[in-house]
Amino acid sequence: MNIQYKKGVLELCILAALKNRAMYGYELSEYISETIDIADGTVYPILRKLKAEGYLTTFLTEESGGPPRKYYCITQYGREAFEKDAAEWLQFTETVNKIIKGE
Amino acid sequence: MTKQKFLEQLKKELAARNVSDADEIVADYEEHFRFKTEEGRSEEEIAAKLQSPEEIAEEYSGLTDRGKEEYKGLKSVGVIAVSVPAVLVYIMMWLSAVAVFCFAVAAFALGGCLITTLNIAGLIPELPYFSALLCGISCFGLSVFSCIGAFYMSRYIAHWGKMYLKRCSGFIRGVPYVAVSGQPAISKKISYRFKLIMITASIVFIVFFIIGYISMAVSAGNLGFWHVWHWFE
Repeated sequence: MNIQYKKGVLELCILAALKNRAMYGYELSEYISETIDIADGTVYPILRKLKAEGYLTTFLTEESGGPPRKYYCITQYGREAFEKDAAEWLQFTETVNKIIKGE
Repeated sequence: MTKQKFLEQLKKELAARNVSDADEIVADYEEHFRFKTEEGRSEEEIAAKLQSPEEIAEEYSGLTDRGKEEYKGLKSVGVIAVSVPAVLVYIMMWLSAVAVFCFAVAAFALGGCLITTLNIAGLIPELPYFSALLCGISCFGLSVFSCIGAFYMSRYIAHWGKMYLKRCSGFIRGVPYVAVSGQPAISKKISYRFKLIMITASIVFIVFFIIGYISMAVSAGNLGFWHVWHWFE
């Protein structure tokens, strides 16, 4: 799959994944890697960017027998942005699919 | 590359590009190594599947250059201008909390004087000891209540100050959304105990005030006992 499609869409996928629950970095990375073929560690810079832009926030939890884990969760602002972007994406792909199928 | 070498290199590359929170970033990759190792992969394998430390650092440095850094100076001036009246309000809030605390101290002193018949500066008028005792206890109740009130006020005011600063800094840095909580963090145990004490103290205050009033009215034979005893003349 073309790398350019992937990068633009990963942010949307991450927000979608975090829409219903919080996850820590590695968990998210594995979750996305299961469906989309991306290089290891691609997710981490994107998480940082989304956090810097206010779409995500983080909290730490104490893990027994390990260092505290940083969980990512979506903010209200992120939720709203996701709804908007997801709608745009669905609209966009519908249009493109039509063009490709030659309708 | 071994994990140690990878992380050290990553740290170096991030520092060279002046990336902030480099420690946090390295910690993320360390966690990644840890989990992958638990799954049975070798450090070499894990490092190979990641981008090179240089490429990773390059990506992160590209992120901080967000163009949200624009107008930082102008925004700072704006924040300072707004903060001038805000700081005055803030100081007044603190003064009121201090005032409530002073009131608590005064009530405590009054209670103490009434109970020990220590008439400081002759301010306390004549009244039967039994009534003084009741009123004194009532004062203690009021004092404790006010003291805890002052505590809560100070916690809330300090918290609001912190949240205001967080909002200002977020605004200047161009972060579109700053998550602020309206409540200061007070541990559940303390919160429960203080609420209990506050309720008890207010009940003590009210009950003993009423009993004290009644006792004084009975002693003086008049509901307006302060007239009978010439308190305010």
